[in-house]
Amino acid sequence: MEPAKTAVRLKISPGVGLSIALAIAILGMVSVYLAGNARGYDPSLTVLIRNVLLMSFFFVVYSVLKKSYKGDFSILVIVALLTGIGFVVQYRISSAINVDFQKTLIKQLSVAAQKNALTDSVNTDSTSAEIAKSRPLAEREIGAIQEEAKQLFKVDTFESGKVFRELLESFPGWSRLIISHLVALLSIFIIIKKCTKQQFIDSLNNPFFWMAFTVLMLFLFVGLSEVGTRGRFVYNMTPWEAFKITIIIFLAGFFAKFKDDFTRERRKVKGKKLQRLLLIWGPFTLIWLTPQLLFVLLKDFGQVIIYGGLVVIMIFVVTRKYAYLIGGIVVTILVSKSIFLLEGVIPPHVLQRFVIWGDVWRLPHDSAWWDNVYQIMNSFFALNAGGWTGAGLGLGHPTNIPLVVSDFVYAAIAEEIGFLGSGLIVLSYLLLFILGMRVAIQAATDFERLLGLGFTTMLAIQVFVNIGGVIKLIPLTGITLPFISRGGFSFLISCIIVGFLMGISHRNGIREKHEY
Amino acid sequence: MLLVLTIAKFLIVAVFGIYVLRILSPSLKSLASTFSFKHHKEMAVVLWVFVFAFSILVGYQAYWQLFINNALFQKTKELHDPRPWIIEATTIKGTIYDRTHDESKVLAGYTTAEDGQLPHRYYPLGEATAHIIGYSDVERAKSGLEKYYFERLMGQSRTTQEEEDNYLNNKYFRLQPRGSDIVLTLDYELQKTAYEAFGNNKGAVVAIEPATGEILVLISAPSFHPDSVSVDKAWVRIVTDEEGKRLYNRALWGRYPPGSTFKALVACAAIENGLDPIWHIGADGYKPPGVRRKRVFDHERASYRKRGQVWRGHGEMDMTRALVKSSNAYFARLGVTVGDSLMHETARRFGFNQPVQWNASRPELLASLVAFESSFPPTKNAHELAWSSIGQEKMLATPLQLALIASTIANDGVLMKPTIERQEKPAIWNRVISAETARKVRKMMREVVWTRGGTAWRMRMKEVEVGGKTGTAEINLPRKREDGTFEKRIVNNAVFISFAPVDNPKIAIAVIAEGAGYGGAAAAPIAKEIYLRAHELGYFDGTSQNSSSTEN
Repeated sequence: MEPAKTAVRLKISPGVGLSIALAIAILGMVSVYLAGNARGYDPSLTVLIRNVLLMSFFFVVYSVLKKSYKGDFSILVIVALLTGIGFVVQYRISSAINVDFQKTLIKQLSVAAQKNALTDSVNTDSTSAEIAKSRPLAEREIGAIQEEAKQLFKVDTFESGKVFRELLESFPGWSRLIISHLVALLSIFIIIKKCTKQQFIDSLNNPFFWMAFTVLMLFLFVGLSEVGTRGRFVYNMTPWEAFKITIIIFLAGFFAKFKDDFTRERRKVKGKKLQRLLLIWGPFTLIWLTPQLLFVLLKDFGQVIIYGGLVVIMIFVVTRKYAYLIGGIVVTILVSKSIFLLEGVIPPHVLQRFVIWGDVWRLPHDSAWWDNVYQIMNSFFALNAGGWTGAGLGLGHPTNIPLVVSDFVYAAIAEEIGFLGSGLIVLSYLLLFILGMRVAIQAATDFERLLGLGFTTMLAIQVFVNIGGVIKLIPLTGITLPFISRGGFSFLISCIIVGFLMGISHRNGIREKHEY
Repeated sequence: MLLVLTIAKFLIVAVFGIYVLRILSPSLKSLASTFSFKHHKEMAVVLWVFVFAFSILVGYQAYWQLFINNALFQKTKELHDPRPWIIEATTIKGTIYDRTHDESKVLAGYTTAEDGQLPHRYYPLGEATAHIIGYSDVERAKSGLEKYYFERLMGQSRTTQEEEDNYLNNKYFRLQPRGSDIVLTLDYELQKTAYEAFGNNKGAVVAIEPATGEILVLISAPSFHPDSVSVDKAWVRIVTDEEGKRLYNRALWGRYPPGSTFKALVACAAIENGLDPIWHIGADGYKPPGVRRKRVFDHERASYRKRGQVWRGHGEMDMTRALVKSSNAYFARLGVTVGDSLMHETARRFGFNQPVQWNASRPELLASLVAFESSFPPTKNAHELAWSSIGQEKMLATPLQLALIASTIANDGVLMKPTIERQEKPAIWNRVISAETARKVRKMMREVVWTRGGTAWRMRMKEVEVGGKTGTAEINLPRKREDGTFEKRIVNNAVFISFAPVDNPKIAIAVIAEGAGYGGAAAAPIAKEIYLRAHELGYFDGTSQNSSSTEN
């Protein structure tokens, strides 16, 4: 396979691009601030300034890399853009959360207060006067609202996560986001620098080490996590998400090494079918299934999809056989449609997602799954309230959706800046994937190419699964939207991926410079 | 402020769009190579798969966000979307005024914010206006005008210029939207008096201004307090009250046999057709021709028998005396003499057997005021006609219909379309009887009140000259025993229709009290209290601020 000789750079100055990204973020946050003030709650100005400062660290990364970096800066620009949008949305949601809480809870709480008033009063018939008195919000009710808020953000905690939690809590709350953001941006920088060295790439190209490492680490997490908590023992993190990266490294190395064994030509030459089957397909099946089983054990349905999709696309690229691609898609659709045959085999919380996916409008609201039905319903109400151009930043009511900050952030975007705005976000994601694939196509070696392909594919599947889940195109999974959802850890991993993509791009740039 | 934010939103979308396209457009050529199948076919295929998948994503989103027209979805949205409630909670809804448009006489408004108390929707008359004003509650949805005028009260409707201005102001300049106010024709004071006068009775009161058809009082009792709707315990009490049926608006939906009050209509039909006979009404009552059924006796026969006396009959009687004494035999005979077709024709013109035609230009108001038809089914023989003529048999009328009969007689035979919104111009529904006939019947109905021994004798008062007709409708209302069988029970509904003053009526009132006994004893006093209050308010001497401008 000849590397593509397309040395065309995108004709936009990265500095200008980052400035516009920053400008969009500032515009968005200022309008959220204004709307929040006008609506009567206090959006924090400190948070706004902090977010602007964090955004401006992209300029630092850019200016440090500017001289030595030979690759494509557009990736960084798009990441900055998406991160800026993420800051706006998170700022919006976090600033309004208490107020909308008040409004939705006001009713229930006042009813509760009235009930108390009624049971206290002897003459239960003289309702009107007492009701009028007891209706407004008293102090204890505000306390109850705060209790409810705590309940909503209650996380499943587990003893073994205590150390991590204490470590995290030793930092003051305001500093956590800053630290994780800086670490993430730093990791982009470090990985690009590392990628310039051939040694580093070679050390990555060692599939069996990474395989063993990944599987062992996953086993560790399976052991640590308690059944039913889905392993989320440090806040809401899923720590094994980090091993998505090692999985890609191992898959890329594995396919680069045994590429020929998967193709038809070599098979014809050797002709020993049984041997092929045992030596190549046997280990491959084992490697494929082991992490898959571990994810099943961890009950992380989203990772199963991501990992499965990744393998299908990689094996298609390696073998160039459409049967794998089409077969993978067809099997996915068939399994998802006939999932009810597996009732009893798969865990109920996965089956529930499928049931809700198929029949969200018909489920009775006294069902045990009401919380999840309510979530996806509210996501739809948010979409519907948005329309073409949206309600305006800070003017919608997306905070009614449970978990809007992490999993359902796209619904909040679609409500506040409408179909056009959210469509543009999908478009910029698509642009990121095109750029990632460009990096992969231009790569010199099979390993680098598969690495680029793997990282791009993983981001793409993650975005697709998240947005698809929110708009009910596919069953809902608990996966975050890269760069936009809240969560320092998720952002860190996305940044490492971007670092790799930029690093490979840098290598391509150096090589082209030498060649021409 | 809101305008600035709206501009900011469009600015963001525009800058974002231009920006993404700006990155995209000059480099389309360079990116195109990525999509080409020349060098790395399989990579290009994967990229095309991505593009395809994300196109589906955006298309699917567009469907749900922009083009969804699914009944099930809309229903679910109505049920579970909290947005309307949040918007309602943050909007200053329009105030509903009574006919005086006075700040002190508000039917639905807001409490003022006090320390630690948020302002909330407040219904000063509470139970008295619960049916017509309705309520709005997260868990129990909406009813009445709060439901049907929701858009207008929220400032979302755009039918008039005023509302359009308000709408645009809300959209671009106000973060806390304001709704449009509504002025009703109800009278705060009369409504309050009427509900208090009703006491523990069940039934309805409707009072109409005859010249305009404006409804002054519309009460259904027993009622519920709109504030107690949101309280679970109180709500359960309201809903489970099988006897009271508190949520049922009797004034519009209750259908009762009109009893003797229907005789006023028979009198109208007879006089209009030139009949004013003097008949001998003996103790044996009246037997309709051609049928072997029970005779129509006067009510005195039973009461005399109860006292151990013998009823000897009225003797010679003209129509005035027959109305004063409420003679069943006379009016049964009169009805049969007038004949089936003429009776039905007159009743139809009074509004029977057809939907109530409201004087309302807004369809949503009509929806909130759906009233049942009053029915006077075709009679098969003279027997049925005779019994129908005294308001029994299969005939049913709503309290509103009875008030319309009184109001037509009071308004010189012209039936006005009933109206509840002050802004509507009076509209004629039907010219029912001639002014001459109406005047004659008014005079007769005056005698019912002012003749000693008349059925409404206790209605007389020195303040205002009232004319009216009582009615006592017998209803067979079996009572369920504990073992499931039914016990026969006959109850008397007290009915009273009236107007005052007789010469130039300003108010016409219909009262129905379920199972309360005789019309003159149970229903008339309620009307009397309303007339006295109206007199205090100056309805009858022209000093009232409340009466319509068309009157003065």
